[in-house]
Amino acid sequence: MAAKGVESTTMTPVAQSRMENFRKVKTSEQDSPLPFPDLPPGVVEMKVKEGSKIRNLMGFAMARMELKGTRQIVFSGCGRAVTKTITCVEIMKRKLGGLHQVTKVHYKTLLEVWENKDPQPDGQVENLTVHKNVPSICILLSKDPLDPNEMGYQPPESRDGLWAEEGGIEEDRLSSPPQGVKRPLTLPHGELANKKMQVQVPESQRGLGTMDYMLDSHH
Amino acid sequence: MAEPAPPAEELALRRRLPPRLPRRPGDVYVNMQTDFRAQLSRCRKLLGPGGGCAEIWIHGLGLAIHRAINIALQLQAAGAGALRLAPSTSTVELADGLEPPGHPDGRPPLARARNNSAIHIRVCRAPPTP
Repeated sequence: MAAKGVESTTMTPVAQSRMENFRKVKTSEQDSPLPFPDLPPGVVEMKVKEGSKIRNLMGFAMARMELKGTRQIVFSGCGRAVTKTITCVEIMKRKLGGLHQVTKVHYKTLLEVWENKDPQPDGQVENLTVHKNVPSICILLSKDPLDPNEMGYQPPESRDGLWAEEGGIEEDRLSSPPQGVKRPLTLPHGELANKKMQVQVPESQRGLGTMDYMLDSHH
Repeated sequence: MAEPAPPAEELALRRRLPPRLPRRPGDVYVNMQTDFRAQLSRCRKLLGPGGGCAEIWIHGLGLAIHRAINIALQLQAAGAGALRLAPSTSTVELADGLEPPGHPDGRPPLARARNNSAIHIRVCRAPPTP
């Protein structure tokens, strides 16, 4: 499984039989600060785990976001919970329109402590600490506009076909020579800001971050 | 899922791929069938000196989201700080077409709409910060 950060290698039979005798005692995450700049200290953080129920997560998150005072919310998950995190974010974006999004991916180190299942007669307990690097994702949703030059920024989507308009934009991006090295951060947004009036695209700053349209839920 | 006819994920293939994939060589769609290392080396070659892409987009749908993130992070780790990742997410609508076996005569298949999450990671070469 690609759960480990390194490229997947098959375990030799010897290693597998050794792990059978071990029982996982505890798993602890190495907590790291959220990778978003300028976060208010009281931001709601939703930690999505593998077994979390989306219904419960969304109930809590929507209740919090519907308050006028809550401007931002962070969803984070790692390992198998990444897909669920993205799903929660997409559902929230659909229910509340006009949310700005910043997505960050990084590796998270998990520390697992395994101990010997059948202790030796002399009571010897072997401990095994495993460092696992798992991909993890942090998504910030905000009612207020965010810095579009931030890596991973995604403006609020429009209701119209995402792919049709984006196909047009890709062509415009292609027409200019591939100078990605020249302006890597401002290229998508700097150009599009000029074309705001001509092309109705999801990446234009339409609505100015206000929830002026409510997406009707069709799921 | 025991269905009378095999479900066909029509929308994912018909609507999504054509606007993007043939247009740019820098589009990589990650799946779970191809070997992980093969997809990783393909991305590496595209970004390398002979690849001709200043930036590539890595797309992953559903279960392949995990693998897409892994590939992007591996590229960044091997790129020694010269690569920047910009992920974005979206929802893709999939339709399962069910053809009841007793009606082979052109009846429209029962469509059941599903939503799936997708991730698109833009990997671009950035000049190292001084």
